[in-house]
Amino acid sequence: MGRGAVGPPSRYSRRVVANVDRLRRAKGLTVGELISRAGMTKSYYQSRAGFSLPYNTNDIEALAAALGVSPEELANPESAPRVEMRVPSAPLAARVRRLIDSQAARESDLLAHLDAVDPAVAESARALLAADTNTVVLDEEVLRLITQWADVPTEYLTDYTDDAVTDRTDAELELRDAMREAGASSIQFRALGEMSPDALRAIAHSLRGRPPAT
Amino acid sequence: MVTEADEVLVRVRERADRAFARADLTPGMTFDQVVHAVERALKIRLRVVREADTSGWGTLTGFLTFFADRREGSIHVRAADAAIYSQFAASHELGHLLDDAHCSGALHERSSVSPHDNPQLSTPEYEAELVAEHVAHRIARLLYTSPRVAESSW
Repeated sequence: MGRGAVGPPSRYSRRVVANVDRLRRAKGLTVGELISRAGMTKSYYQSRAGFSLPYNTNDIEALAAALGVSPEELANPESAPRVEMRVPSAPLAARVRRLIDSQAARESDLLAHLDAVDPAVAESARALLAADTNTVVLDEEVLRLITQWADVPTEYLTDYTDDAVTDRTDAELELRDAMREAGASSIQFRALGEMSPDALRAIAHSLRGRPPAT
Repeated sequence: MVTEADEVLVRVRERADRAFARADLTPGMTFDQVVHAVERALKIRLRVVREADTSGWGTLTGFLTFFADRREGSIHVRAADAAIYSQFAASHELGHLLDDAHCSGALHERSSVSPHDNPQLSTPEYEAELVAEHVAHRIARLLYTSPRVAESSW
């Protein structure tokens, strides 16, 4: 049985894309110079840089040669002191707004919080929320701080192609919404195994269907 | 040698003792009487809801929703479960109420699942779940065990 089609780039693949960008800038190369040296067409490169498809190992080797680094360095984004990620702006901004709603807050509340931590982080978040381009480049720290503020897993923003994380986090957010609407101050539950997203949604459903307070 | 697990167990038992003692529970009570005793002890109103539609519940056996501003809580259990089992699940939630009110005066903002199934639980969350489970066991003994059975079993 063969493999399925290549899916969207994972978090790791996106970090490799960011590493290519970082090394390209460090070497003082333009995008055109890089793709020319790596023997890629513009559309091939853009589909990877724009997260439609991941790089394969031949690409890594060709890009590394073009950048004058080893394939291992290129494929090891963890070695970068700060990881910048190129992310699709509209879906990420939508998630950030979802998190803001879940806190019954406003964009200005989040930005004020980030500004207190690091004004540069707040500026990046502001740029994401206002972006009119398909992608933006962000320091991963920006996404981590937003998820920390919203009390959700970091992967909800940094690994947005992970369906399991998305499903569970969305279910948690739905439950929080239902708690707020019902005026509930806390929920405790007992389960005989890991709570599924469906169970969280079932609790939210029950909360929404409860009779009004007397 | 006293291990960390032993220390946790000692703390859990002490908390469970205090929580259980707060409600002035006595042998021979029915489950409804236990609920009323907790209401009186904590000066709150409680509702036990037997949920008919539990199709999405999965491993969930029961949950407690608390409305602090109204001093009101609702405990939800599966209608399809045997009474003895759903009462145990509800008693676990009563354990949380008795324990939280005693220890901090405030309820957890977030929930947790059984400590045996969630390695992500912090120590306080783990202990809170254990305390609730211990209280549930004590309520179960009070509801379902005659002194003679208790003598021969324990």
